[in-house]
Amino acid sequence: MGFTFVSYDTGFRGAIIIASAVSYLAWGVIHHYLHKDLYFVVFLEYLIIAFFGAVIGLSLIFSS
Amino acid sequence: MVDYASKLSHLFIPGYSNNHKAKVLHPESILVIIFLVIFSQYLIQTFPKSGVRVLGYAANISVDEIIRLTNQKRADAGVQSLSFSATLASAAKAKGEDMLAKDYWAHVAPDGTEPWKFFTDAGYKYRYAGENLARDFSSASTTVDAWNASPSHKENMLSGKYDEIGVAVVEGDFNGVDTTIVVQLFGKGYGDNIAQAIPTSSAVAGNANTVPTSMPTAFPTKVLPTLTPSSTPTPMVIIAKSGTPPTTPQKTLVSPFNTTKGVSIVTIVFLMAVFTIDIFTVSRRKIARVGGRAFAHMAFLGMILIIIIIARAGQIL
Repeated sequence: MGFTFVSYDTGFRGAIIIASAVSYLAWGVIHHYLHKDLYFVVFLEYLIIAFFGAVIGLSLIFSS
Repeated sequence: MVDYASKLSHLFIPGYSNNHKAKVLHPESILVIIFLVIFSQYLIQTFPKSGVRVLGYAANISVDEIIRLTNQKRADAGVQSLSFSATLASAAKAKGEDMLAKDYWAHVAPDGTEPWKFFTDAGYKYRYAGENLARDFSSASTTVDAWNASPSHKENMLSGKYDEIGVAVVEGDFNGVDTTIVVQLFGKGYGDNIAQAIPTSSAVAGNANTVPTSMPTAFPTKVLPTLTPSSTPTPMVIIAKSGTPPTTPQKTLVSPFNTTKGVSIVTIVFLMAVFTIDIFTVSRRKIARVGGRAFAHMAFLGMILIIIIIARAGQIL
């Protein structure tokens, strides 16, 4: 929704992307911690997927 | 043939050779994909600067349509229509050309040139002034809609302090990419709206108005416009024709935005497809492994995909 309503505000769109990526990483860590299967490789996996999403989103925003 | 199939299986299907996780989904593989995405962006940004002119934003934006849509918005808000000022249009054209010549995207030029200098240079004596900028839009309607969606730009468009408008659509090389810039200037000059004949009127001030002064000044004080939108519509007036119809021919160009969008969508769909195979295979073979939740990864990537699909090109300032 935020992305639609601020569709021409580059800074805000970038902030949404970064916030989404950080939130996803945090969710992954908390989720696996609660399930007692949080290992470094799991953390690394979420970190890389979140980074991938951020790179993809930000590259589009800043190419316009 | 068998070797080729086993390599594909190693890449996309969880099994003994890839530690029961598709090789493409291993962290190092995703890092390679990230690197490729960044490299493709580098190429898209670098190609135009090296003289390869295939990237750009093709547009077909009409000045008259910008003015008509702006007056339509004002009519919807119960504000009087703006009359066309050839002087303001001239100032807008000068501003747009200055941005292209100096490669900047801002109200104030890198050398400190304030926006209202273009008003005074064009001979417009102003009491109030405002400036809206847009670039990389493909039509007049999306441009005006973008301004209308931004509170500060909307204030400029609907301010009752202005009675004249000038618009220029300038196309040219901007940092190596063919770009269309739209400059929309508002003003209220001295002498009751006779700007077409006499080059005396207003000046610009970013997204705000200028305080009325008895003499035009190059540094007007900015104040927020007081808006009193009314629900009562007023008749729309389609204003004067510009002397130079800004026809922007449609070009066959590859948009950097659309290119990036295509690359991003293909990459995400590819990863989601591999995750789908992974989920299916792990479920079917009842593989127990330490790792993240593939469904969660799919959901996150799906959200990024939606963002990419709804993202639109164009910037306003």
